[in-house]
Amino acid sequence: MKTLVRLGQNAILAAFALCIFFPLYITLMTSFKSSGEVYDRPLALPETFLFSNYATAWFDGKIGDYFLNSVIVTGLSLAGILAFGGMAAYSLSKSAFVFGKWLYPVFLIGIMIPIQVYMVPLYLLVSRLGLGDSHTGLILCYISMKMSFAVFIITGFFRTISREIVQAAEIDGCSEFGLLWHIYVPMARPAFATVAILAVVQIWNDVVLPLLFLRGNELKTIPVGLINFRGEFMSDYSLLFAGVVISSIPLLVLYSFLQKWFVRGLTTGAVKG
Amino acid sequence: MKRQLLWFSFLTPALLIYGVFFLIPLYRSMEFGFFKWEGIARRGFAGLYNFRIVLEDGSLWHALKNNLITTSFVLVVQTVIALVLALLVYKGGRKANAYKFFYFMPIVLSTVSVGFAWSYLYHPSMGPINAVLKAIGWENAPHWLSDPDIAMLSVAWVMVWQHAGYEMLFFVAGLQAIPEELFESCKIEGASAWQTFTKITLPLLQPVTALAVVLTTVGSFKVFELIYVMTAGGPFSSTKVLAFEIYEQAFKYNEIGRASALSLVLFLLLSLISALQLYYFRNRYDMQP
Repeated sequence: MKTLVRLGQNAILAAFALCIFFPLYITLMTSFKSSGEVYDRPLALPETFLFSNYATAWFDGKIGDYFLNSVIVTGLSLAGILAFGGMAAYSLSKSAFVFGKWLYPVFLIGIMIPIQVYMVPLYLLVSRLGLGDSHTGLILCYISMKMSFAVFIITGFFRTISREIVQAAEIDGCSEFGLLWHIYVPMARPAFATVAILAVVQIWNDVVLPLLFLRGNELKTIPVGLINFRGEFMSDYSLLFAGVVISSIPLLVLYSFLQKWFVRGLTTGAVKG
Repeated sequence: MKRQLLWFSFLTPALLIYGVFFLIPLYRSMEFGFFKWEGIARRGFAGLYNFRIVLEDGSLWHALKNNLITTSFVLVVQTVIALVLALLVYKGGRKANAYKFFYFMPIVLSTVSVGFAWSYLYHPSMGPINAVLKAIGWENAPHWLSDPDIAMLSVAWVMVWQHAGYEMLFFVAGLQAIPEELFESCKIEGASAWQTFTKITLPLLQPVTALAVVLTTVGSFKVFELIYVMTAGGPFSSTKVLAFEIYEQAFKYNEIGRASALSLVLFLLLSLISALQLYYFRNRYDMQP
């Protein structure tokens, strides 16, 4: 009886694993096929592994450009979020800070509000500011979107830093910024890592903002780039999937090495969704 | 005193960006719906005019109906899968950890990637799924995304596919928080597995279940990107959910007034859902394990 139960449990686990695996496998295999094969033989392995599909996607399909754009936007947004969020969290974590008490909740409002609620006014505002078709506009929006979460997590962590260490540094003549940089930040590395992972995953994969704001192809990030791609290359799924694989690899690689942080970042960031 | 100012100055960049690019649009999203619009120019106060329009032309109800279908499906199917998987892997061990790693992975992928992959899988003639079905004899395999009756559910399944592992981790955390001794004493007392599950495990999982349910509901309610990529609201508007309707009204039809009214409705609904669900589970928080 016990072995039967054990068998059933393993069957369930394996079944769902297969369920997850199948689409990923198909995507990967299809990316190596020729368009003829895609149409005629969806389930078969590729006849030859057309690595050239990847080159075509990268150069002719402009995936390389989109990739670079994604790196720029994600990188700069991340820098902004950590820097400005960290600084804000520093002040907000000081119980002696006069404005802290009511400013902190103001920063938390953003946690539960999805972009779909305010995307229309945001679009109008960004256009009016002349930041419409630019990376700058995107980056500023991303910074503001992740600010709530960053402030929430980092402030929480900063608050746990012991007084004595801070006081000792102050006695030694440490400046305010020095305190932040040499004491608070190093001690709050897990907090920054958590925020960083969530920001990177969500910004790298985001499609809504670039969709709304970016008109010109030169500026597009990978997700919208792929959508464009499908428009141009219609049913050439093999090239499209090469693009999909290229866009997914960075995060997947990161995930393999930093699984713990991904879990932490994405589940703590859960409240934001 | 000087310190206070210094601290405030540290806040300034964050406050500025957050205020301009979030607080202001958020405030505006509340009020836009109450004005009349010609394109992007405001044309005077309109009271509930926009709200009446979206109610009367059925666009709001239609969208909400689709949201209801999606969210119900996702909530039930995903939570059951997540809970079952969690029960099987929470005890740890190499195999369990490998499964956890794998199940969680899809959430790292972009909605666009996932949407494209499943669009291909679902393709009626080219797609692998129907290829398998035809091979086992089901000649007239379903048109997953072009049949208006099942398109919404097909998309909802993709949402479950991507998020089940994620929800599973919440239950894993909850299960791991239950002390082993409790389960052992249940065994000693002679309780069956089902009794243990319903009388001990489930009640103790309430806080985690509450969180998982709220997040899943809210997450599935605001779905937009997947629809955009997979069906663009079709076929015959059968997958037009609220967030997609907002997008279309604003950016395809230039109807800012209607889009804003719908946005406000979305916001209120999300707040209501979260509040209700948290309230429902709130009474059960004081279970002492």
